[in-house]
Amino acid sequence: MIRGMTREIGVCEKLISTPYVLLLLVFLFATFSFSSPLAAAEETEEADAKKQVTAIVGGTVIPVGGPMVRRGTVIFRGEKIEAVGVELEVPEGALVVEAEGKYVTPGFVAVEASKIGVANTDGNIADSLDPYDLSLRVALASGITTAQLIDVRFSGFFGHQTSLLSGAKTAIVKLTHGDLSSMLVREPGLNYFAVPTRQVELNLFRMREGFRKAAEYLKTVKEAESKKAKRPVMSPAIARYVTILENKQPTVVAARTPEQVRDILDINSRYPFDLVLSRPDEGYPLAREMATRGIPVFLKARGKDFDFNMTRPVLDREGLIPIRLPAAFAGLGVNVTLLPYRRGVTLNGIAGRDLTALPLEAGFAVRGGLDEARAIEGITLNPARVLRIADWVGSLEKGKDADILILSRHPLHYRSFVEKAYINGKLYYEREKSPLFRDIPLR
Amino acid sequence: MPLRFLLPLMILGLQMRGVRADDEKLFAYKARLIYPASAPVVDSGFLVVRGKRIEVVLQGSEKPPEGAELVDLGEAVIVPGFVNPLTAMSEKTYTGHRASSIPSLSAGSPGDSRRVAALASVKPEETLYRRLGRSGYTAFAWVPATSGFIAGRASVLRPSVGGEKLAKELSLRDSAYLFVSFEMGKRWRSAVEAAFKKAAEVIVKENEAKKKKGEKETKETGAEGKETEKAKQEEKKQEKKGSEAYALPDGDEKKKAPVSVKKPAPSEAPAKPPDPLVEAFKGETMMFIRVRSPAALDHLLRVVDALPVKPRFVLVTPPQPAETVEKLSGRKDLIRGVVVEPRLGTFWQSSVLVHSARLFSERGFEVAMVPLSDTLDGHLRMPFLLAEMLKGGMSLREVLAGVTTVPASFLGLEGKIGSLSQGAFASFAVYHGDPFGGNARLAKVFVEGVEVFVDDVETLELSGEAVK
Repeated sequence: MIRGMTREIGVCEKLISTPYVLLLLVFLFATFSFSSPLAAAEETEEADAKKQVTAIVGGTVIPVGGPMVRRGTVIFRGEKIEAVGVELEVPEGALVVEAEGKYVTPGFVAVEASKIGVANTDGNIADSLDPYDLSLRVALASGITTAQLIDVRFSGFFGHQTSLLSGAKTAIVKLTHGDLSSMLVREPGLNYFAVPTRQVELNLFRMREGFRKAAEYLKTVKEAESKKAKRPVMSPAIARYVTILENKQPTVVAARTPEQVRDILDINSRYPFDLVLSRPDEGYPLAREMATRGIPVFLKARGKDFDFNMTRPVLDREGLIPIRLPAAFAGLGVNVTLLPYRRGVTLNGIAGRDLTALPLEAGFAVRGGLDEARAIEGITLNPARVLRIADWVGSLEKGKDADILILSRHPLHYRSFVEKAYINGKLYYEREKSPLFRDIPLR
Repeated sequence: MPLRFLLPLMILGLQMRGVRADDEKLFAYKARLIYPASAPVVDSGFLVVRGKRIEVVLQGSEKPPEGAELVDLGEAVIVPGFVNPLTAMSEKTYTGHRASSIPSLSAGSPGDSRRVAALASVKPEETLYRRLGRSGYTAFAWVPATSGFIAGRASVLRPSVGGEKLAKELSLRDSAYLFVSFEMGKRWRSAVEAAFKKAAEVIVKENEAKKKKGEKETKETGAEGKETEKAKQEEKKQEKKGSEAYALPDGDEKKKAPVSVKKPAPSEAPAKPPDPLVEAFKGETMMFIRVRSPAALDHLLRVVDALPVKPRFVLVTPPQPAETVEKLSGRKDLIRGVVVEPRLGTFWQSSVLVHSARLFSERGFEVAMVPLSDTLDGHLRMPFLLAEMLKGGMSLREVLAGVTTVPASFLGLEGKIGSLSQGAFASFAVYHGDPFGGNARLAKVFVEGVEVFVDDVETLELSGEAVK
């Protein structure tokens, strides 16, 4: 709902920015003043029909959530996808984009991204969005069209990023390069929480107490609302637990060990809220429970190559090496979202480990035994579901936003490059015209 | 008794006459080329100067007026003294060892010092003001050294010619424009939004009040009594609101600093000084808004678009990508002109090179240029950058205007500085070699008719007030 509203505002701004707005207003005024409302509705339909139609023809379409289509066609009108299929009739006047020998997929969704398209995070993220950011351009050029931005100040020694993001600021954006008005999708995005890892006995007790008090508080709020009384005062100590239990956004909980996973699952069964588990690698024994309770998880196909504290063996207790994790969880029916090794764009870092390697990450998951279709879902539809934006993005379906990639090869192939990236039906990246990867020959 | 009063007066009068007579002295400077900036180039002509002002620029075929002292500058080229529309140099930073490359005025929190004028902190005895005479620039718009979102009001100063005791003597205009800088982030956005909204609301209310007044006058006399009472009450309300509107969140000074929203009644306290921001919104004074990135510009336009009354401002900007300049070309209702650094710059956070001044110029913007670094050296290097601009495809007219007439018009001093038109101040620079060819050598600088700097080509000796 919120997203719908922001989108509308975005569209308005776009309209206002065009010089034709006056003409349009005069035209609208004329039609409204001389015709019935019914006719006006027809007019809007007509205006809809006048929108630019684009047809991507001849490529191998991976719509996600449906079977792969060879020599398929994707047709989108204005901002929305109109049809996906084989041997579709291309409407007259449509702009035809040849994708012979290429792959057509929905834009990738990065569920966690940091320092992309944000100038400074002073207050909220919406007021600091930078559509001209270089990191944003690079991320778009590697196929990411939607991302949840997370404001992280400290990203761990040596840049190996911790999953402890408790209370981080988040916002969901589309990476519309150079276009501020269509960037923001929703703020805040997901809610982050970490189960205690130090002084476990004491902190676990505090956490449980926090949830209990928050639940009690919400009960009193409900009572007050039913009596139309004033909202009771909340103690700041339980604020974060109240936010979780209010459940306006799903809560991502970093829980790594089976004990931590057990704790948070217990709490979630007692006080229900939308729970997402972030990297419950060693909680694999509880995967079946996650599947039955419909709790999605975030996983990395490549775990830590380096344990700073040297406290834990790299192979975990169940003998699962990280590359097998996504396959193992997905095999038991868990909704798996794949995270890149690092959540920022680190152009000076080790190649293939940052956000730009998100499809590569899915490729690693396939190497570890995950089904190819599931792997692509793990970087498109599944994160969209977690972010509660799956009604608009994540797959190529009629009525969804036209966030479409044309790739030179299969999306999970390491030699694959994004040729064109459309967001909301508008072309924001073209490999041949951008200086980023233009000079690398396609092989 | 009367003689005791009259004698000193007479002596004073005589002295004044003497000084004036000296001031009125006529000079005719002969040069190979004269760029009047407001008119086409004159080949081997005369620049005629009477006292502080320029009398006329004559063609070589014409004869200099009688009684004029002829000064033959030989192969030299005369150019009007350049005008810098934005500087924040200080005694500590002008040598360059602690200066930032551009006047950096927005840092930290979005403070508001709209009533601060740069002139207040000018000390004419400092060497800086004399040294400026050797830069080839003869007018500088100084921004107060404050930080925050409204940095204050700029004062236009000229270099010292020696002997000035008061800052006022250096001033060409005390309050030329209001300097605002816009950063991204919630605090800045909300501060700018709040301040701009208040200013716009005041204007809306004023307009409404004017309308009502007009209506009232046209109405019949029957219900006049009631009407006036009502109007009076409304006026009172508005006044209250108006004064509240100017009460800024921080600082008592701002609260004390009131504003005359309407004409003060004769019985009222002495007229309150008007709010600079409201004046800027009305277009009575100029407003410069500085952004540091294209994204900040987008955010700023969003804020401005939501206002009921839109201000007109001069945009101070780093290099912008071509698409942004294209987008801005549709917003000339808001943007009066642009101040840019004259160079091929890298586009914000990337390696893409853009020719920012040319991009703006091609889209029909009036472009004023500032030196690359806000130091004396930066100002001295300006001719070389202008040569680069010419090489990059800008016309000579645009380049010359960018450092003379355009900044002068932004500062509201057109016809007085930045050109060699009749009645303008006789502040000009003399170059050996083409000043826009990249090989020019500054030979002489005149400030209001006084020679402040000489670089003798033959002896290579420097002299004049600017050297001391």
